[in-house]
Amino acid sequence: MASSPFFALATAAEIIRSAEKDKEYRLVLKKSLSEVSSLVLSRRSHAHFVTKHLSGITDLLYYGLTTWIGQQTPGEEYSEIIACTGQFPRITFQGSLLRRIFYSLIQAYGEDFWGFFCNKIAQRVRAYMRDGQLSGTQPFPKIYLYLLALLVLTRQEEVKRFLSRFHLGIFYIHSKYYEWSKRLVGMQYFRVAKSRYPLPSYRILGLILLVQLSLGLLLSTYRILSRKDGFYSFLQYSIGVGDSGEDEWDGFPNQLSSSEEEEEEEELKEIGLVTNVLFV
Amino acid sequence: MLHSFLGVSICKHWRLEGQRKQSNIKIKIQRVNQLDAAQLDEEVLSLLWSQLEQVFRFLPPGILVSLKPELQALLKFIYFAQFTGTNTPTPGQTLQNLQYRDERAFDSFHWTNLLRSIFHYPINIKDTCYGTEIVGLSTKQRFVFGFLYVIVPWIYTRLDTSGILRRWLSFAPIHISLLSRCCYLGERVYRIACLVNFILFLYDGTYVSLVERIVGARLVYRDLSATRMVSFEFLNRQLVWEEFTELLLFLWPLFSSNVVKQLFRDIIGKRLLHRETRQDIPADACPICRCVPPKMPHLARPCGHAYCYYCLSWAMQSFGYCCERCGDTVRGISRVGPVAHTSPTLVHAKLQSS
Repeated sequence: MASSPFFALATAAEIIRSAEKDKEYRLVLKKSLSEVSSLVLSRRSHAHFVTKHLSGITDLLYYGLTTWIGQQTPGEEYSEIIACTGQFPRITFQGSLLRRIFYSLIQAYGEDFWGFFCNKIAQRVRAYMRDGQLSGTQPFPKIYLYLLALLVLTRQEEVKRFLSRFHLGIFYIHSKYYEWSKRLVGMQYFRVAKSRYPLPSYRILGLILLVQLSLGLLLSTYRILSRKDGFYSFLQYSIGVGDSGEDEWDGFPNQLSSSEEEEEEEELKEIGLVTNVLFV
Repeated sequence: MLHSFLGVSICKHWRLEGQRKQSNIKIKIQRVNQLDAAQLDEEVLSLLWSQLEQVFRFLPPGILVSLKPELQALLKFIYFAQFTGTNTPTPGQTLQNLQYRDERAFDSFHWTNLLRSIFHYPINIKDTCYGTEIVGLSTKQRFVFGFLYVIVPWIYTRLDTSGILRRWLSFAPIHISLLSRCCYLGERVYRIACLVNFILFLYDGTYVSLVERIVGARLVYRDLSATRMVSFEFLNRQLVWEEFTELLLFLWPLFSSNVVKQLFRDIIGKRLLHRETRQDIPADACPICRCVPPKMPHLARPCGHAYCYYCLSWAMQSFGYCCERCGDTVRGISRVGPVAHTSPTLVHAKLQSS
């Protein structure tokens, strides 16, 4: 977005501080919700609520009562910044209603939805591979399977961390879109503070971070490829491990017996450990 | 019937009020100031409490625990009486440029004004110029505020910590048991009301706590021209420190001592260095632990020198490990025959030959 003499884009420091404050207040709301649920619900229902729904409902309430209805969040008030979308001079402060709703929903349930989507794809790929092996054909070495496996890999915690660090590096360089949700919606920040001394840029930090992550990625790729059947193992790890919540999501019958499944999981966990070490 | 009565009386009030003036200016106070002021006050109270704990350090143990609700209530009372009780902003509010005002004098929708309008009592709404005029809390308001802020929490904490409520629930006659149940129900209602209040606060930014909403004590700006001063120094230092720490932790294993050694060997000449330094190693010993013969002997590849399995595998953990005898980079290890079924003398002979 082109800056004008009248408007100044918010710096990275202001946006980070705003996000930190929002996180703090979300915790207050979360604690309050948890207290109420512990008093109102039974212990079992309370545990279920806390593990499954508390985080999503807290975020939905918080952003629903602030960004959704076109208000600043308390964090934005603290840093004296205001969200906007569009290109100068056609700027929409706080964005359109549709974007705000989309942003609030992504903040609350985006990660869950992505996990659900990845689980579905992993199940499809696994079913496809098993069918192929049973019928004697070998559908495995196809490029789109690898691509799907790479996509599915994003549900693993260490890969999520890697991607979020990578995104942070990009944010440090451009000082725009601190979160994925903001990047998807195209939400940026203007500074409305009356006077503030010039704040430093985090561009060097971003460059260092990106170089470090790229080196890590290169090393991990090299180590995976240097293993015997490294790529195959990588694909199996990507689509096989981390389906602990599979029973809840999938609609497909499990074709392996439980003992076979356990053996397979043990093998895959070994590969998973290697990948954990590499990415972190 | 009641609904229509309420509707009519409220409409009447509005009409009367409308004749006097259109509507009061609605002001918006930043929520973050109010939240931070509450947090700062809590921190001040916790600091005072820690000082009080130091005083009780020299007294017999148990006294502090038994008197904790009373002492906390006393601290809160002193804090309240010193600041809000005298219509003075608390330290947290002063830092956030805020002060309480009697919102009943400005908001015709406050529940007390609505009740008054229903029962045809006069309502005194003040005319405002900017919407930020301050009318201090009335004596009655401060009394109720203090009661709800200090006394009610103290009564509940005392009953709960002494276990009276639980005893009443189990053994007492029916009317006492009912009282205990009412207390527990009251706690639930209070928690739910607090949550609803916080949600309303996020929506309109009026009352940060339930007591303030009940009493009608709203926080407004003391000085309209004051600006917020935010320092980002700590954030900058923290981010730089974190980033450089992480970078060092990432790079340190890559630039281990072995890599430096290898560089020196390449520069100075590995043959020369090796002959000067490693001639003292016996030919049949493990070059790392000097054990004769090596335990579970394994060969370093590609140079083929023998080591203990443990020594070599441990040394291989570091990146770019070089053989202690010849200085070549070790790329893998391999076993020396079926070790489990051979005697140490045979292994020794095999190693000599290799």
